[in-house]
Amino acid sequence: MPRFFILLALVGFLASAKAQDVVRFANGDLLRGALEQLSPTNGLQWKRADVLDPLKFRVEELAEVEFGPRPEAPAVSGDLTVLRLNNLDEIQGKLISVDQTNVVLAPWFANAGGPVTADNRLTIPRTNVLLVAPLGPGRRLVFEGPTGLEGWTKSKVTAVNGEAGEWRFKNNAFYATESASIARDLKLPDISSFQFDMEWRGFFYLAVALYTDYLHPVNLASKETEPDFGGFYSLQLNSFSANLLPVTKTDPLKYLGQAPVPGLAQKTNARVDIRVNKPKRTIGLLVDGQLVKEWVDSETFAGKGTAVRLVHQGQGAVKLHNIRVFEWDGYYEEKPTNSVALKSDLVKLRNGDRIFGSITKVAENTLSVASTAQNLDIPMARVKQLDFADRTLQTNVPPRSVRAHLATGGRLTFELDSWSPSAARIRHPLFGVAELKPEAFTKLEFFPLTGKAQP
Amino acid sequence: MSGKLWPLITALLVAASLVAEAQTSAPAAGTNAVSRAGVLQLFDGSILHGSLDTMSPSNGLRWDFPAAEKPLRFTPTNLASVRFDTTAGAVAGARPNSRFKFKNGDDIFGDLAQVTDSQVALQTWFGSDLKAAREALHSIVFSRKGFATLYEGPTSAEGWKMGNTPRPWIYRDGVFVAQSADALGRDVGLKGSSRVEFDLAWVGSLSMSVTLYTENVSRFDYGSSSYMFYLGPGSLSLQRVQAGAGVMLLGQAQIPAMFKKNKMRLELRCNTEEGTIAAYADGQLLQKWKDQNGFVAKGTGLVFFSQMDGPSVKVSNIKVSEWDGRFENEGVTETKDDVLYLANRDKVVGNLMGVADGKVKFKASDTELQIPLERVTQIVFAPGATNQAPTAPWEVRAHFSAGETVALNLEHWDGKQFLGKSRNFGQVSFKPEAVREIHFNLDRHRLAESGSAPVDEFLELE
Repeated sequence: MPRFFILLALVGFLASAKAQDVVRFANGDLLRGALEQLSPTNGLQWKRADVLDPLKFRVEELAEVEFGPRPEAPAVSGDLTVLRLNNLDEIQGKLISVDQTNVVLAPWFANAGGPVTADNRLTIPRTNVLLVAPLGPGRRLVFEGPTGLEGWTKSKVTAVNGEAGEWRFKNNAFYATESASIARDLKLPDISSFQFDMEWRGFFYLAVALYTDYLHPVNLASKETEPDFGGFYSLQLNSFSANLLPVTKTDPLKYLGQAPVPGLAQKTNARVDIRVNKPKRTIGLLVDGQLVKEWVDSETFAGKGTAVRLVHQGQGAVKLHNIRVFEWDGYYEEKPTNSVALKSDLVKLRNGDRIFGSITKVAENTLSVASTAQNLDIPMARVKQLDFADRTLQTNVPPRSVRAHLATGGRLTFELDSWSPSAARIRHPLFGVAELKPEAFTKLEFFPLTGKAQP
Repeated sequence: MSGKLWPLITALLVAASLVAEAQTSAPAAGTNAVSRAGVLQLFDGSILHGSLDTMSPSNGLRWDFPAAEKPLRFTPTNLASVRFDTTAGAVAGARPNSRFKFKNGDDIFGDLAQVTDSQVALQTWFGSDLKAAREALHSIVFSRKGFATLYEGPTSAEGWKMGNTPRPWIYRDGVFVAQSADALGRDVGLKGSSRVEFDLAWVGSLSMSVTLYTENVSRFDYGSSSYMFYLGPGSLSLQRVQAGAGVMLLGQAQIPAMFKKNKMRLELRCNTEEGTIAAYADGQLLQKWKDQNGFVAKGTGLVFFSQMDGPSVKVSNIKVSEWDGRFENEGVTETKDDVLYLANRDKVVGNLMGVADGKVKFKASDTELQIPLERVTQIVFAPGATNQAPTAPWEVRAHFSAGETVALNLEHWDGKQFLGKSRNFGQVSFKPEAVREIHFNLDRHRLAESGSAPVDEFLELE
């Protein structure tokens, strides 16, 4: 799990607006409410205010429980590392050590951001660990909102159909159903990630002005007669495609290329993530985590400001929320890759180098590896991934297993002892008994009777 | 304590115990009950397949849910609806001559027995004969052919034909869902003038067609004559497909509201004698067209064709009925008096004195008229006092399988009996097996229909 995803997931976790837990049954039905108790023997005890008797469901009829927002959100500080286990479970935390026998991790969901102590460390036999992927420190959050209209500049847009509206703020979201503009100096860093959740009805058309210094809409058809404005990039997104063009007051309009956005017409919501690398003059668009296109401007970077302007182009009803700006390091995230057929350990470095050998230990942020040529000590900050040799994937889920999904995207598959809002007691096949903080998890999946093939 | 008080206290205790007994003895769980399979929906989005056991204000709604260790009992707080898997339909060949619309939203097809200065009497297929206060009535629409239902559903995929695609339409809980570009057709027996109504919901950019009077119900066929409505984002167009002559665009109508929502009820009416075709969205007339070539289609089938990929279109609550080709005249006259619409398109304003023995007695100005009922197309009653919209916790709305709907304060349901008190009809007893769906918390349904409820946050902005 890349570090960026982890932080985003945590922020998303904090901002989640789901009101209740949801239990989904094997037949596809669902019921909202709150989990009270869960155990293999007593089933799922569920709470709702509108029932006359306590609710109790058989575990073998459950498909999953999805949790609503938690009163206490997990926090992460310092460097994070992902461990992927042989059964493809994935957990994150602070890597304490690796030796010939064990991997020791302080998972964030055991200490909830508190100081690492011996009590909340997981000691996992090294033979059960597939890979270790350090994620490094988190990235700086530059802006998060909206929390109101203050600080934003709303403007009327001259609409083709004559119907100009305005963005409205409600429940931490902006809504527009007619042509409207809203802008703010978000202090976009030179290398940035600008993200928002978008929902819509009908055919939508949104223009996002990036790195602008002008907070009012610019009519591109008559831009030369508009009040003075500095250059910016206009990312034009609709239900089917995206297009990008640099806009200056005097230069002719020049599209950098249209890209189809597959599947968008069949959806009503998406997460949009715009990655800009000003020094390299690149602008990338990710929709729901998938890179749609990265444009490269062969001219000088057109953007003269650090503001963003969001312009509803008069089509569809659009909602924007969870707007965030992060500093970015210029690298798109990659998921760690499995290398299960290795005869020796493999160290992948951030600069692309690879070292085969025997990983001796990791201690005090230093990796010791014995390669055929020499013994090396490498700072962990340079390490992208450690793959251990001679691993066999465990591709089936044992019957009666429960899989818990972490707010940060990882997961654990285990036999459940008990689960309540205050404590979860589990037996993990690869590291044994553990007690976890339930609020760290977003979902429980049930594999009641037969083992299912791993997804 | 004075000895004289003992008899009074004893009497009070007995009375209290009787009240308590009455409250708790209402249908004991499962006793004599006939559970009916269906789906329960709550306003928070919860959905449970199971069977309705009993309902009463004292014991709540008791729902058998297979995954639960014992039946669930809900208070009415969040109940949205119960929809049954199967329903007994109207008597085959039934042709009620009148449609009664009440001010509280009750809507009943039946036979008019009598209207007096204070009361209306009617007969229905799904319950006992009903009598209501005349002031509760909004209008009576008469059909010279009778309101015969040709098809009402879906209740399963049986009888429907789908295209040969890897991902055909699927049926679930009274709803057809398109999985890919595919046809869904049925011979619904369209013959003569007709009305086709259905609920449509979509995700993303809608693209689908609805073909009427086609001879080929398994695909779109240019080789047979039909009329095809095409629904795109914010618009609807009508094309005549004529075997051997190709396709002709007859017209288009804009539906701007489609840009801001993702569901609506469509009604398509065809008058085969006059060659006129009309489309309504959410009860509002969009457009009427006239085919100058006359009505060319000869088939009896209906085909929905989704042109989108993925589960993007849902079709439900389909009703196909015969139509006498006459349009209602609702809301066009602002008057405090009764209004009588006649077959020759005349309109008379005045006071309806009564309907009996096939004759309408009407007083216009100072003239008393006696008009044969077959010459009357519609009576719109003077606005007068309206009965209040339902608000009580157990005030439910029953939807019957032929499209009728009645609100009532539920007293008891056990699958054999459906008892309650209607604001319009007083104490009523309906056949439970005739009920297709029951709606609860009617205020919240009304808000949803009007676009004011937080069912869709975009509509909430309007």
